[in-house]
Amino acid sequence: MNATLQNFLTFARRAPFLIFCIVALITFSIADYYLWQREREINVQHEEVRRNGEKMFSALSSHGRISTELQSVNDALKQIDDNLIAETDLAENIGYFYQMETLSRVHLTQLNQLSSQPVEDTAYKAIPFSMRATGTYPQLISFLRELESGPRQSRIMTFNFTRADAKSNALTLGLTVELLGSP
Amino acid sequence: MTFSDLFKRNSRRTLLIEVNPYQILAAGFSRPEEGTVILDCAAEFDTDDDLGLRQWLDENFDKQKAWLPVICGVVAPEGILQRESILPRRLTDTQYLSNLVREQFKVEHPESWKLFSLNPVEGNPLPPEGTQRPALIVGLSYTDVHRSQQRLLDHRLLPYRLEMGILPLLGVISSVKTRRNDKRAIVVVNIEQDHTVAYIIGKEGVHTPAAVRHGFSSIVHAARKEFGLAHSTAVRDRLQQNDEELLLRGSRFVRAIGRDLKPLVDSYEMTTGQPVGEIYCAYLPPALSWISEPLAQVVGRAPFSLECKEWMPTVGLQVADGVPTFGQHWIGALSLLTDFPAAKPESMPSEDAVYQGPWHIDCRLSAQLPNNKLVRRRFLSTALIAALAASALMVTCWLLYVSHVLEADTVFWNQRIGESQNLFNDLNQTTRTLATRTAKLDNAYDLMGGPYRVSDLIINLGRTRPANMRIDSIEANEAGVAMRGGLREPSEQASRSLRKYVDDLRRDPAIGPIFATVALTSLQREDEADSLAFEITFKLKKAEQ
Repeated sequence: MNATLQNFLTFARRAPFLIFCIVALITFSIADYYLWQREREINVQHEEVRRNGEKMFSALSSHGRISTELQSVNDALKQIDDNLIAETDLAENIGYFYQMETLSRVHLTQLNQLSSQPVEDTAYKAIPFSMRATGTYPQLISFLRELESGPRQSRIMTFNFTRADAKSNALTLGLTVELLGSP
Repeated sequence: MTFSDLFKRNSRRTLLIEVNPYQILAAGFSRPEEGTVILDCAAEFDTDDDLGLRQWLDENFDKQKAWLPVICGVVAPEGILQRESILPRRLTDTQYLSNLVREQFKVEHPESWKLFSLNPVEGNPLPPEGTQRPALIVGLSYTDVHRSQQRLLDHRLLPYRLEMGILPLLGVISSVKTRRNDKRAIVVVNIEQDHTVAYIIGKEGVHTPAAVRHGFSSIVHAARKEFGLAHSTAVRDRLQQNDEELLLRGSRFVRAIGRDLKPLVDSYEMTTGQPVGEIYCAYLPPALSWISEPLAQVVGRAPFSLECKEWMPTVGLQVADGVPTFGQHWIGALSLLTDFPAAKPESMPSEDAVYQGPWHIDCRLSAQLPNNKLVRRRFLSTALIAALAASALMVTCWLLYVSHVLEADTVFWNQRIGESQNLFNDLNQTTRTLATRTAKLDNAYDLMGGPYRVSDLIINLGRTRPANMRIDSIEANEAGVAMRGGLREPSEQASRSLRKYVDDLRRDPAIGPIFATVALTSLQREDEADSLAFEITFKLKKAEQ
C-alpha cells in the first residue's frame, strides 16, 4: 500500500472526529456550491414568473377600463361607418348638401363632386366637393353649422367668405369640403 | 471513567520505558492522585524488538488519539557519569564544564553534549558557589539523545522526560540503603558488552572507579570454553538456561570481571575507610540474574537484593490487578517514577526544565521534538474545521430553505397565472381589438380632423370686430386664414386700433391658441380720406412648422 495512504489511514484512525469534520466540510461545501447554483436558477425562474404574474394582474386590473374604451370606440366607429358616403353614389352625395341648403335656406349656386386621391390599405378615404353658397350671414353660418355637425364626417379644406355686394347683406361662401367615404 | 476524571490532568495514561543494554522494559501508568502511580500493564522486549513493542503499544494504548507521552530512561554506552573535583563557583561560566570534559574525558566536541554537575550525595545540582568539592559530571551526547528520541518518535511516543537511566537507579539504591540504615557502601555494576562500569555508593555519595575492561562478552567467551560451544548465539542461549550446572560453573564465567572489579572495590575501602557490603548487577534480565551471585562471590561481597513488591509501596508505586509482579531488573525502570526526598523548591520545575528533582535529569532536545502544544493545536484545528463544517451545514440548510421558499412561491404564481390565463387571453384579445379599432378611428380623424371649426372662427372674428371695422372677405386654405377689410378712422387712430385689434386676436382664448402667428400684413389708405384697407394673416401652427 502506498506510504502516503498508509500515513493517512493511521492519521484517520488517530483523529476520526477531525477526519469526519473534514469530510463533512468538503461534502457540505460541494453541496453548497450545487445548491447555490440551483438557487440562482430557481431565483431567475421565480423572478420571471413573478414579473409575468404582476404584469398579468396589473393588466387585468385595467380590464374594465379597456372594455369601456372599446365600447366607446365601437360606438364611434358605428356612427362613422353608418354615415360613410360612396364616391360612386353622386346623387346621394349631392343630395346631402341640398338637404342642408334647405335647412339653412342658403342658395347653392355651384356644387360639384371632385375626384378623390387614390388610397391603399386604408379604412376610409376623403371625397372632395366644391360648392359656392350665397345667403345672409346667419344663413351661411347655419349652413356651416349643419355641415360641421351633420351626421357625415366632413372637413372644410378651404373657404372664401366674401361680401357679395357692399350695399346689401348678401354674402358669398366658396367652400372645398371633404366627406368621409368608404374606399 | 467518571465525570470528575475528565478534570484530572494527571489521570492521563503515560508510558514508562527503559532501554538498557539487555532489554526494553515498558509499562503503562497513570497518576490518579498526587504522589500515587498505578502501573496497569507491563512488558519486556529484546533491545531490537521494535515490532513487538509496536504491537504491544497498539494493544494497550489504542485509545490514545495523539502522541503518547512517555518517560524514558536510556543507558548510553558513551554517556559520562564521573565523580570529579570541580570549582562550583566557576559553574557560572558556561564553558567551564565543557573545558573540563574536554580535558578530563577527552571529549572532542563537548558543545554537542548535554552536561550537568550534581551533588554526588543528594543527586541535586550543585549551586554555583563555594570552593573545590567533588561532583558528579553527567554527560550525554546529542547524538545519543537524538537517536533515543527518534526511536521513541518512530513509535509515536512523545518523551516528556528522557533521563540517563543509571542516575535514578543510583538514587533508589542509595535511598534503600539509607532506609535500611546500612552504613556499608554498595557497588552497582552495569555489565556492558565489552566493559563493565561500577558505581560505588558510600556515605560520601557516588564514586566512579575506572571501568573494568571485561564485559558480557568475556562471560560468553568463558562459557564457550566451558561448554565447548562453537557459536556465540548458542553460548548466549546456554547462558540463559538457568540450571544447576550453569550455577556451578558461574563463578568461572564472571571471574574475568570480578578479578578486575575486586581491586577497585578494595581500593575504595582503603581510600575511604568505608566497607563495601553488597554488589548489585543492574539491568540483568531474569534469565541472566544468576550472574549476580557468582560475581559477588568473586568480588568477595554479598549480592544486593531488593523485592520490588515490598519496595514499590514505599515510593508510592502501586500495581493494578492482573499485572504480574515486577522483578528486580525493573528497579532501574521504576526508579524513573520515584520521587526522592529533597528540600522542597520554591516553585515546581516546569515540564521543560532540565532538573526534575534529585537524581532526575531531563536530557531531551526539546527543539527536535514535536510541539508539546500539539494536542491543543489539534484541538484548535479540529474546532476550527468543525466550526467551518457547521457553518457549511448551516449554509446548506439556508440554501435548501431559500430554494424551497422560492419554489413554493413560483408554484403559487404559476397557479394564479394558470387560473387567470383565460381572462388574460380575453384581455389580450380585447386589447388587440381596441388597437385595431383605434387605428381605424385615428385614420378617420387624420382624414377629417381640422384645426378649428370654420363656423366658430367666423363667429369669433365677427364677435371681436371693432365697431368701425368692415370685413370684406375671409379666405382660408391649408396654411392659414387671411382676413381683409377696412377701418373707418383717421389713419393714425386706425393704425393704433388695428394694432390693438391684432393684439386682442392673439390674446383671445378662442382664436389665439389656434394660430402660430396673427399679423397685420397690409395696411393701405382707401379712396375715402378717413378709411384704411387692411389685411390680417393667421398662420396655422402646423403650417408654421
